[in-house]
Amino acid sequence: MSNILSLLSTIIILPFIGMIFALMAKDDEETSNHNVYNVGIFTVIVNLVLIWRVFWIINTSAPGLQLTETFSWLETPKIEIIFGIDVFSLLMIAAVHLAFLIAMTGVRNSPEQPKSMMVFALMFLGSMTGLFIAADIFSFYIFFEAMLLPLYMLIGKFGDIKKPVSLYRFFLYNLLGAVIMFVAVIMIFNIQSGMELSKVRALPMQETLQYFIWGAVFVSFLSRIPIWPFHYWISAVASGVKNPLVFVAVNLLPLTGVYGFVRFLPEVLPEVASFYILILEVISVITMLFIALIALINKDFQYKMFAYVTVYYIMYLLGVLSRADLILYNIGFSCFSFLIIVSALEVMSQYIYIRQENQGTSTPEGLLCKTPRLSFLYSFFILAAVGLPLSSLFMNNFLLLADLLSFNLRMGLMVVFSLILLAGTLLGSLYRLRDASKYDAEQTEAEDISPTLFALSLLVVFILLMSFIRPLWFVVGE
Amino acid sequence: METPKWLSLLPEALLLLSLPIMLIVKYFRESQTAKTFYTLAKVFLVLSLVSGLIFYDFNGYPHWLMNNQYTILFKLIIGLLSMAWFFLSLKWFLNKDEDSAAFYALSMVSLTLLFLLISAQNLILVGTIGVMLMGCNFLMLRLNPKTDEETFLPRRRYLVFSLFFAAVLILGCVMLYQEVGSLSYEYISAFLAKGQINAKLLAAIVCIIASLLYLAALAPFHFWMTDVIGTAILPVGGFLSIIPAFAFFGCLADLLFNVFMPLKASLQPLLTGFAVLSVVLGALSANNENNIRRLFSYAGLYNLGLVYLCLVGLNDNSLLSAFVYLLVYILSLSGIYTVFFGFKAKGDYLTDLPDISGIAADKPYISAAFLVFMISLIGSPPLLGFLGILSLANNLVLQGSYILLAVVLVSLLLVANAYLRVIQTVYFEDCNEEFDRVDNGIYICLFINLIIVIVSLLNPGYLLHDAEKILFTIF
Repeated sequence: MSNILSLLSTIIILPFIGMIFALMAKDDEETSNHNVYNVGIFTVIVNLVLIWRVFWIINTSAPGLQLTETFSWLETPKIEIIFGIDVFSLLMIAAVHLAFLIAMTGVRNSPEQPKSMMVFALMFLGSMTGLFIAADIFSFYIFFEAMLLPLYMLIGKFGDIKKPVSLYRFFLYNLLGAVIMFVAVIMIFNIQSGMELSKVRALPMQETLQYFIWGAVFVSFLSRIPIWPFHYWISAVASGVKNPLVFVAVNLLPLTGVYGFVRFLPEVLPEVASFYILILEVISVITMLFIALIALINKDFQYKMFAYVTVYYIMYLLGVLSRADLILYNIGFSCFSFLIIVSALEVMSQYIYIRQENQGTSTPEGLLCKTPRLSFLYSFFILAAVGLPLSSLFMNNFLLLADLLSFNLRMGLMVVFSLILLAGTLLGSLYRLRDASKYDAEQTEAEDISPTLFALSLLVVFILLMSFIRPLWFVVGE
Repeated sequence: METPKWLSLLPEALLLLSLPIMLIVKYFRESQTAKTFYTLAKVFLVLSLVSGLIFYDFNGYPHWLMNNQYTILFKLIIGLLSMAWFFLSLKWFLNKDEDSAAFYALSMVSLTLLFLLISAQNLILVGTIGVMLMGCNFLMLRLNPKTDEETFLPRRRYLVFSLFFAAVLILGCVMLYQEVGSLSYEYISAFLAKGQINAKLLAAIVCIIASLLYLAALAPFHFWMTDVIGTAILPVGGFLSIIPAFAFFGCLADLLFNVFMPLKASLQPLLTGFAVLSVVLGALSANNENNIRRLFSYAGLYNLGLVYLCLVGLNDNSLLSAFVYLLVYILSLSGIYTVFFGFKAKGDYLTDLPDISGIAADKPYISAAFLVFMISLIGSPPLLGFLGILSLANNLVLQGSYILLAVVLVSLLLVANAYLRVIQTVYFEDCNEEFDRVDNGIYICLFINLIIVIVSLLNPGYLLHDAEKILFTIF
């Protein structure tokens, strides 16, 4: 079906339009600052409907990018902007939007300045969407770098970062990655005038140039994933963030790195790239184990969440690097549920923090005992997160791990071990929260989540369960 | 009937005509406000631009001045920027209740000289204009009513260095005349093409270029700019930072491409050295500055360095990329200076970084514009600055200058660090001050500038429409 409405451009532009409306929204004590949240939530919902429509239009079993749109951008040098989509990127966009929707609901009653939060969140969402739709190296780079500013502002204003220096370094470090990417983009552009990402993957290059270009591309993507030696600044910032919306945004950044590998990894690996990939796989597995072990020891739930997110991203990265034919679909379906679960868990954790603060207890043990609705949801999301058959994470992780084990047995076993450690960590924290023996009956009874929020959360539970039954359940006739 | 020769000088004549009118109004009209002189300056500037457009290719004195598409492009940009700056400056004079006559009169003189500089085809004219511009700048710096040492010393230093570089400029012209026998561009170009180049000739050309770079405030001749920007009144500081850059660029590009081209091999390393020095010094110094005007002056040095780094390729591609970068930089810088008009508390314009702590909470729109312009100056997409850095990087890769590209990108990170400090102060720190209401005119100017900065990136053709073809008429 032809793309008569330029649907892809519309999907990119909508969050930016929402951002302008959010900027103009009237917010005062009378409206309890809800106007601006409503604008944000409405924008995401409208975009989700459009994304749903695109799922219907495209051929979900066809390879390659579909619904391509081309715009002439610059005459000298001649640059064209191309947008296009496939099932994998569309799944990522849908998951990111759903994650943002859940996180926005979670911060709706936040006392912080909502206007700038929504403005920067929508700006980030627009850039993130653009990245997944970009089908040429220039637009890919533009969105790859454009998301840094809103993210920096979100963390700086709402991330509750104790050390501003780590935030500086986080931004500069990511900017450095983007700058290296920029150099690679310019060099690729000067080798061949064709700018489509698909052509870049099969670009013939001199050997010396290959070292530089693939090295630059790999380093820039790795700068987004918390892998040693790139992990410190990301972990310093990401594990300290308490606001669910900011946490979700920060932890979407590594997804851009993984996605970069998906789009740029050559179809036929040159010798140079094989050399880099071997090093990368070794470092990835060590980082994975290391982070999983720290999470087991560390008592801070935010760090455990950060470790969970990081280990999963590294697993996806390893899956991408194994370059098995169908693995991309498994990663896409698994990542879809993964992002929703992370976002939902963050919102639930926020409620637990608030209850812990209200009760004045130093540890959260037993806090879920008298809050059945919160307890049910939290337990569900933790169980889904560890990979039980409650979402598409179960089947697709299984297939992903099977691929990794057949690709490299030792590496696969290390990944499985890391996942087991992580599952133990998350289940342990759930056990402590539900431990009735630690519940202090003399304290004021904790307030459960509202029935409205519970109903909305059940919708998320439904989406996850349906994704377990059939990953593309929302596409009729798939 | 033959068209009178003087018509080619009509734009400059109209600018100068504003001076006696301002003088008459100043001394003979009883009711006069800051707006009176602004209106006069505006009217004569519009008339000058219109006449410039009508007679854009009329050349009455071809050995002295040349008018063509290239010169009118630069004059038009300078004229439009001046118009916006005059409007903003009016707000300052109204707020301070100061006499604006001297500022507008000196600005019109300065604009006349800059217009002539762009069209100049003879180094006698360039030398005379250069010396007069130094004098004009000095008089502008004296408009600050403060007489304390902090204000007085930079002014005196500027005078001393200007006298020195005026002498260098004159010396360069005299030496060149002794070797070539004429200071006409055409004659010098023909002489150099013969290849009769000696040390004295090279020294003369270096003296001329160094003096022009002093006026353009490129390192290592930049010190006066950052020195005076911190102490000059805001209208003067902004005028000196924004307006002359295009005229010096136009004049230098004309000289390099049409006169000194046979010396390309000798001049390229020299210009590269100055440009790299500007980039590195600007980026490093911006990180140690707490006065926001001086901070952006250092950042300006970094950006000007990048402009001239683009230019050193001395080919059509380098000229276009330098022009694009300069345009993008000046647009963002003018936005930054517009924001400075909004940083006001208890009637005073704020200049120190701690003074604007947490201003975003009180003035969200001004702060948002500030953020946009800063990010544009870093060259980060999706803002217009990206177009500049893309043009620059592509030009450097085409030239195979990978080391220069690495220097530029490391400096970019340093400048970004300086801006992050400003962003942190504006957005993440607590607000301790009560800021004054911002004039609606400033919001309008910011809005227009923001539209240009944002829309131009969506379709750069809007901004660069025909600029490429016009620029290449220089050859």
